[in-house]
Amino acid sequence: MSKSVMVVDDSRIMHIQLKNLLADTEYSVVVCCKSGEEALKMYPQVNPDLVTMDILMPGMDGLETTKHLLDENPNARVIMISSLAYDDTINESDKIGAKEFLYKPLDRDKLIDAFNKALED
Amino acid sequence: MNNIKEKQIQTMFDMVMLDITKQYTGIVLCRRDTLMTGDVCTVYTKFEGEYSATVALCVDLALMTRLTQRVMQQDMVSEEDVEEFAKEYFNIICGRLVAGFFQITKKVLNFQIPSFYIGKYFANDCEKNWRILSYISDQNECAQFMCIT
Repeated sequence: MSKSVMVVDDSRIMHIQLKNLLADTEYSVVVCCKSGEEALKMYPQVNPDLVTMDILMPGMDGLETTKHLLDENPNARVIMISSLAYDDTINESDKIGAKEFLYKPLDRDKLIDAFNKALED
Repeated sequence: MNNIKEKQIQTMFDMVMLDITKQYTGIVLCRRDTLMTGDVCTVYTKFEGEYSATVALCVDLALMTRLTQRVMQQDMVSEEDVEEFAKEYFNIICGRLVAGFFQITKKVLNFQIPSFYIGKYFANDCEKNWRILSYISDQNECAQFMCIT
């Protein structure tokens, strides 16, 4: 049975890219949200196995969204995905409870690996 | 900023441009002095912090379209797709640049969400210092990466 993924990113290109990368895997993108606010609304309706979260988004950024998401849904598994490669960003993600951190551009093997690790915890 | 750091930064800009393009799209660019002619598009942003600069990427529209097709894995892409892809591609490049800049200088930079338009980059009067890195693809399409202070 495929595992559901919610993609949170303001870029439609990322939505498409993630769907393409996950084709023929046990993971399936079930919903794409363009903002943190939308993600907080959709999460309880969809209850995905995993969430991928972009950091730089207009409005509420990915770190703040993740904090709120995990406050409201402590069992949520969030994987941060970012173009920003500062150590501070990774440390902050860790502190707020994200399971894994990936840099863009995404590599299929690293993506699946991160998903598998996030689900093991 | 001293000359050694300037040189390191220029080398880093070049490596990021080549690496990200190859990793993200599979297309390999080569450094070559080129003139941008024909239909081009520009995506740019401002770096802010202890080093202020406008960073712009000017690309043959045919190349940007081909990059978009590769990433979206579809032959038919709209103008909107190309614009969205250009911003995302440039966003990834800038993210890597600021990290590389930090490693060299220990200074933090921020950047804004990129802007896109069809045409070449036109500098303001106060933008006097241009550093340009030029590239060519396997299909002789051109790209220029510019850092303007």
